[in-house]
Amino acid sequence: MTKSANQNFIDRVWNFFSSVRLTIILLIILAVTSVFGTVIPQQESALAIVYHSFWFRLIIGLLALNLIFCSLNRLPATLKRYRSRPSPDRSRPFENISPDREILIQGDMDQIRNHIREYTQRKYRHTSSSETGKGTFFYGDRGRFSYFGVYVVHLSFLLILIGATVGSLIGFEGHVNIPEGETVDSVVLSKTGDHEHKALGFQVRCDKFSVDYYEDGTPKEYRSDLTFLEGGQKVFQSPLLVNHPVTFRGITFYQSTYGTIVGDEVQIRISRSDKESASQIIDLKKGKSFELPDDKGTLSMARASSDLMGLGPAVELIIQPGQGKVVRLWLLLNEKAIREKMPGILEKMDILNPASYQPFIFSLVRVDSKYYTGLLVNRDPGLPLVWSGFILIMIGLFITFFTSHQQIWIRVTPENEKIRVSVAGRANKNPLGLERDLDLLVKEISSRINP
Amino acid sequence: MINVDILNIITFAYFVSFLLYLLMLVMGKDGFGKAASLFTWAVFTAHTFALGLRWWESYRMGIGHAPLSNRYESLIFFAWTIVLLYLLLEWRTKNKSLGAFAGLLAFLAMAYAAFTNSNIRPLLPALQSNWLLAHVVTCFFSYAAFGLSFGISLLYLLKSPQGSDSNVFSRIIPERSMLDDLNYQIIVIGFILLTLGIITGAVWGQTAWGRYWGWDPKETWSFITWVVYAILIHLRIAWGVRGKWLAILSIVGFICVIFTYQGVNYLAGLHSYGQG
Repeated sequence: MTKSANQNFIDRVWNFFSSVRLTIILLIILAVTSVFGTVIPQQESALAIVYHSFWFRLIIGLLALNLIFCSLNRLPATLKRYRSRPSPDRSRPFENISPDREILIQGDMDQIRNHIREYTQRKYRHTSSSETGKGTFFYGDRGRFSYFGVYVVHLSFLLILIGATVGSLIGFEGHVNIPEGETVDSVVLSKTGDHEHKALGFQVRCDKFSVDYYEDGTPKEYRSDLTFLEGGQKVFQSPLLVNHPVTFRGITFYQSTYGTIVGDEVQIRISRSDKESASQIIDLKKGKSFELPDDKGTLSMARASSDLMGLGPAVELIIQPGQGKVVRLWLLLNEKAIREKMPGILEKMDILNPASYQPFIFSLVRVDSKYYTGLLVNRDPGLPLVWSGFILIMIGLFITFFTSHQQIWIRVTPENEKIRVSVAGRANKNPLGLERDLDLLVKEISSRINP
Repeated sequence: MINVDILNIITFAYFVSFLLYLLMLVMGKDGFGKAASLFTWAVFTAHTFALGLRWWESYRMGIGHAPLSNRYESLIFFAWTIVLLYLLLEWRTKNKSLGAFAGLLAFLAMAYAAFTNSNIRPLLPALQSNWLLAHVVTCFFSYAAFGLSFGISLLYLLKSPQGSDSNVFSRIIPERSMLDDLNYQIIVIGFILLTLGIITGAVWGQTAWGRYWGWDPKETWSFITWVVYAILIHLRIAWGVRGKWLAILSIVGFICVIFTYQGVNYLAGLHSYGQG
């Protein structure tokens, strides 16, 4: 490649990336592909197939590049317009002005000049004047910053994109269920499909979960009372409600869901195959044990499950005989229904057989239930960038659409004992506003001079 | 509830508004226009009163909240924003040719509301937030602005190009260039309000669901709508596109608005309380 061909290629790449044509094409692609995502019924697959996919991010990345190139391409011209200070004694602006922009007045020339000078200095940010053979010229302008509104808007998009990237790279999002009274020190990361845990660096205990209802039965409030601990020491306590997240050590907790699980207290019926009449119902609490009659050993509850292998709520018992091996077995709350559906199934496995520790037959009468709270847990270091982007967008849009760079020229010339004042102006936006201001200016001058 | 009874009457009153403005267009008589404006202002005042009454009634029921929490309330509020914006536009431009469209749109929104559950119901925990008011108000004013722009675009396409207006219908409609300027101005206002609506929604989403953006169908459709109007504004500023193409894009944009507002209720998502 020769040097000029090389240069040519760079120019073409530059022109391609800095064209509004590319912007429009990318925006159309973005809109159309976004529509596709919404017809995918499952939100998770929509995210995976479209919104979090590589090619969707590529479109957004290209758009960001396009935006940067466009801005850089136009910046020199904008700066030139921003810096330009047109000379006051120009005749071009006064060509073809309408008759009501010119007035003939009587009065003292110096007084009129001073008045106009004072008016322009009061109403306009930059003013200048010059004395020529053709008369006295005044110039004033304001709102130069209006050229930068577009840059502010576009810059804030980059800020939001950077914020989102920072959030997804060094932030995390996870979830955790905490049964009442229990403590956790890690959460399950959402991205990894429930495989990876993240240690929080502290512990969170759910002291209590409660649901409050309105009179008509619709939920009014979901509330978790949380305690944050470090090294077993209570550091911070706070209720957590929907719409009122709680942040601790930079990690934020949101009330997300709730549910019930088997609690710590169960009722068990103990019958005997040798003595039909000797049946009793006992309360068993986690951590406490029960002495079986006739010194046959002790009974205790190892753990409870809300749903054991799809068979419903269940409790695992540990039986420690006076001598010999420990026996473990699961009691099912739905034992009767399961027996009807699948006769003989429980007898096939010792661990599910209620009669596997002879002469006793155990059955689960009642289980206590308790709430667990489901929390969404995250840390997003990109948030300050995103929030600043949001504020800047609104400021930028306001500057772009509601401010304009207004320039005015006033020419004062003597004419047969009288004085002719001509007014002209230019604005990059809001032509109606300019006309209104020029009308006001003419009115102001004529009213002051000819009371 | 009294507010619902009043709102039912207002529904039909907007239909009368529509007829009066239509008569003005068809007959070309100023009298109908004056009557239409006066009548619509009166109906709008009653509408405002009914919204206030509904708000007050909710407090009397002990579940006080702004009437913006379900589909019924959003529809009657949508109608209210359309009429308010239209009346402001009529007052500023001294032109009534969009009145029939605004009256009809308000009537349709209110009539649709009549088929939904009009009970005042308590706020679910997810909706109990100060962001509710800011988010819903900005979104609906943007929808209303885009609705009026849709109407102006229809007028533009109806108006014959150069003063060759043979029919009365077209005579009252302002010149195409004026319609075009007005259309763009209203689109800009709608765009700014939609941006603010999306931003307030994002901030709310962060406090309620722990994320400011999640590509939920309603979020996505609001984004699509936003992109359509962003394309329109870029075409106007960079290439000076005006007239027919601006009108057509505005119509496409409003179809997206309708889908954002109502269509996505048929897709699942976190915004599903809009279905009630």
